[in-house]
Amino acid sequence: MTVNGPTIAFLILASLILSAAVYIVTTRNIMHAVFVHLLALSSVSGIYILLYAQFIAAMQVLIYAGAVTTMVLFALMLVKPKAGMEIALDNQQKGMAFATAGVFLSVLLVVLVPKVWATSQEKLTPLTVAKFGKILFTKYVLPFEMISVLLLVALIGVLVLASKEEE
Amino acid sequence: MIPLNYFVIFSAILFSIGMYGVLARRNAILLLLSVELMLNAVNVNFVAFSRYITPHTIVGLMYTIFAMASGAAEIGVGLAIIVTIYRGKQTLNVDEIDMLKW
Amino acid sequence: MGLLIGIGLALLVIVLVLTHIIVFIWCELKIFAHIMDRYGPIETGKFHGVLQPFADVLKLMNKEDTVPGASDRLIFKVAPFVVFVPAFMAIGAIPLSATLVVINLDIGAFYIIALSAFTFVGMIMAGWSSFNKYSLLGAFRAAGQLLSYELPFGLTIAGVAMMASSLNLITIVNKQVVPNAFIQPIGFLVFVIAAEAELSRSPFDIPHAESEIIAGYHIEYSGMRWALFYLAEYVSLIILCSMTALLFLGGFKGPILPPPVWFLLKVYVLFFILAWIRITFPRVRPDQLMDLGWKVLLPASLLNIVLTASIIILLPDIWPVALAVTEFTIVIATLIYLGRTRR
Repeated sequence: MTVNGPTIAFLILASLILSAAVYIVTTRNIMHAVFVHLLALSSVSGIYILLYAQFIAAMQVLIYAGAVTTMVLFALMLVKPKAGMEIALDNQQKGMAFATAGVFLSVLLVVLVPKVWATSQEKLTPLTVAKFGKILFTKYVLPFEMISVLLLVALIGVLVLASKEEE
Repeated sequence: MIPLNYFVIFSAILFSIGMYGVLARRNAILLLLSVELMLNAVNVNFVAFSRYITPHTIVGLMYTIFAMASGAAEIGVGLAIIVTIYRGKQTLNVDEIDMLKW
Repeated sequence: MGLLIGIGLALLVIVLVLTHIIVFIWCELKIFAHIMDRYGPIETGKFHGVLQPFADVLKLMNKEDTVPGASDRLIFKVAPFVVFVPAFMAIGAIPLSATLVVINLDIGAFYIIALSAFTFVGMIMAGWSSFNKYSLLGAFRAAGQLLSYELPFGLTIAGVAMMASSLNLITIVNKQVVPNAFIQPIGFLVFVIAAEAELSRSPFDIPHAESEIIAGYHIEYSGMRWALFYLAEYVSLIILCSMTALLFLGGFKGPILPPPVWFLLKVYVLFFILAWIRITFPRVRPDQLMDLGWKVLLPASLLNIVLTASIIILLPDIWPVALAVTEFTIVIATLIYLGRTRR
């Protein structure tokens, strides 16, 4: 157990995220779930900063705070159920779900906790965004283009799905 | 330096919470939020392993970027499907959306 | 020790920014008044009402902090901070000179855009939790507007980053021999219009149009919580003026005077121009706003990126001149075309 600044910061962030996640999967108020979800995901960007991946952290905030949360909120406003917004958020298989997730987690923990990883001994240094860009547009240029095609397809698909059918 | 195992265990717990959410919730939007939690757990793992095991290559970070992009696409399409279903059936309850069973 | 220095710097930045905001508020009152041929505040503090902002602060601190009975209390109380704190966090990345900066981030410009994303959520939180139909309408108008203008805004920054091959604000400034506004006029115009819309000031003040939806998402707020929204608006104003100065007007570069003075001068001039625009133009309609954002600014910013990228690749030796000539030709041709068709 090492006690230093980053570790304490990590533990605080991790407990914040995990309690936020528990809140999301148990709350009965769907709007609160969305806002707490934003809290959890922006704290994940704090974890990325602790890993010296600032670019990923900024992307996380931009995508999740800027795009995903706002999209979910817009969708929620479009589909506000008439009555009983706060009932029937859970189904009857809560116990089964808890057991499955619990077993899954315990198996993971049994495997992972004693594991010693072959980590590199170097000190972490911040990644420059220039290095990132170079690799992204040389070695990974094909996946990058595929992602842009995927986003385009998603965009068209969403337009087709969400536009009202005209007779 | 923070031990690598902290990140791995953290993301395992986050993933399981998301999994519980996917299994136990019946509101479609909450399902999507739980899926996002699981996706983020995986992303944290990618970044942590990439930074700790191979600090000079950034392969894991690339996976994270692509995962985020496809995650955003997934949320967009998912919400469009939810809105469309809601127009037809006036419900967000995934237990009632069972037309394929007939 | 490092922690103490950090806290000290943060306090210094907060004090500096708050002083600026107080001065800006007074200047804005005076500018508005004189443009409208009035005097503006004249009584408080003997000399042209210089103590008016302080009186306003005292008034706001004494006001009762009301929370509507039907509201979602927790979210209602948190919302102002979600708008305010990220705005203040962004200030730290802005350099006053090549050495005078709190955090010199590798991704400075991107960091500022990313933090501005919290503003929408804060506004929706405020609007939704008030349980008031006007504030909900205002919140969603605000979110729609900010989302559609965030895109051209970010894309013009990409154009600038391509020319400097960096996202670091200091590098971007150092690489500007000629201010970028003269090389990328399209980018500059799009950036300024999008920034004005991001601030939701007139002519883009649809989210809190007083005559249509009372005051938008902060109807139900009073006292210090309302003041936080107000302060956040001015902090974003300062950030966007500084961004325009850094990205397009050569930032802290300039002859004779020391760099911080040049930087602040440019920010003040931009502030004056924005105040001038705010008080002279009428409000646009929501559909006109969306048309401008999606049909004009977004294609223009994409054109800017394509032109910049292809000219840098095709003419590696003379690209600044070629880019400037091309973009100015397009701008002038568009203006001539508009002048002919609008007659």
